[in-house]
Amino acid sequence: MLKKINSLTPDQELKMAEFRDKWLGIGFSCQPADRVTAVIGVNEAYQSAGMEPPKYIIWLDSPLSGVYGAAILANSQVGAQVGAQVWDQVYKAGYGQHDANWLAFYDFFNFLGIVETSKLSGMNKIAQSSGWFWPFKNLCILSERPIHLFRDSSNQLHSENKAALEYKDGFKLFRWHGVTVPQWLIENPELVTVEKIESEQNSEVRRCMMERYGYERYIRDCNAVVVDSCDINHPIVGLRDAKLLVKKVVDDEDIVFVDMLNSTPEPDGSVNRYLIRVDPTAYDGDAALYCHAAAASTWRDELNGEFTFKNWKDYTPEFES
Amino acid sequence: MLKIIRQGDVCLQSVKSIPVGAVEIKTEDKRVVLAYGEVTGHAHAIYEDIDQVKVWAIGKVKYLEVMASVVLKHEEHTHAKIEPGIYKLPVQVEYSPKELRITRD
Repeated sequence: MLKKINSLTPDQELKMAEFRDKWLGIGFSCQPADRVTAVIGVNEAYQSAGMEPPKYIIWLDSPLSGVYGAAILANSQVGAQVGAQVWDQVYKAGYGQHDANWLAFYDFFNFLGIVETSKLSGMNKIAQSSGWFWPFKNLCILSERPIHLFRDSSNQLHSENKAALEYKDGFKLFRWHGVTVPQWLIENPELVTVEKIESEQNSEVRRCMMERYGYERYIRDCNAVVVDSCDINHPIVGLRDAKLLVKKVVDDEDIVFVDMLNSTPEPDGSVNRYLIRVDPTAYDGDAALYCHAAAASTWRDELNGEFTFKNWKDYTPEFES
Repeated sequence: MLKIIRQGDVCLQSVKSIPVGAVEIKTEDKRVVLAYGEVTGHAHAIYEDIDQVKVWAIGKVKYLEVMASVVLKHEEHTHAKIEPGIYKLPVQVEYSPKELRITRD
């Protein structure tokens, strides 16, 4: 009998964090598959679906090997059609550890006593012990987990110098903050040029290429337009000789940098310049038109907080060093 | 009194009062650091008369209360004199389409 839950106790809410962490660990696991547990899970899952457990189990080393294997099994035809059939197998797969997102939800409610979720016990076991899998009548293909996986601080797949995700048969994905990029961009960033950046059609990949090249370096090398500049005697010391550089980008927002002088000279009397990229939409777009507005827009109450100066003209430091 | 003081990537904006609900933040024993450098180990900090300053925070927004004038120092910048008063301590942020980042001297 389904027991309806209308609210959670404080203890139960606290427990959610535990389940979250447990399932994040499952989803990101790079341990070799626990093949014994996985097969127990497969047998249970087949039984929950009213089927005989499979007679044969095939293990492959990555999801890619798995989709090929499943496509070959699903249809003996080979040739031009195989590509579509291989792709088809991506949707027919169980995702094992990558089913963590939705299994976590039911696992938590199983803990709260919603007994119907126990039908997922087999799926849970597969997720906790293996990668993607392909159930057939009498046969199940299972695949290994990755050998490594790297993420950035927002949990996006990301690695600066190698594949962000790799399996032991050599299948790997190169990602820059979650964006799929060509292998050379990660392994040979010195090959990025202004020409390559500007000829890249995909705006997300183009952004990654700019980041790899360095936005500062790019804005210096790409003939950005100076849209505003301040006098060498500007009353705000930090804006003396400041420049606002704008680079128009096809089908993406403009890249806007404010180029300023350090207010304190170096020990040898020289003055360093520094560039800060600014939000072109700040102050109704004034940050993309005026050095002063751009400089004001760099100040926020906290990292993702409001602009400290409600009006950019209020940014008038009396002392700067 | 100077209303806005800037030393590199540290800015002090004079305000009327500490917001209600702000809590005092414990500082280091021998200095009050307003911002640490990212890689250099340098810091924007007050080293003398530190009993004359208090740091407050409400959420992630910080405030500096200055009872008697103090000096803000940094290895690469001219000293900044801070007169008594209450200041908001914003952060300097570099924009990127994906995320904002705090700049650090």
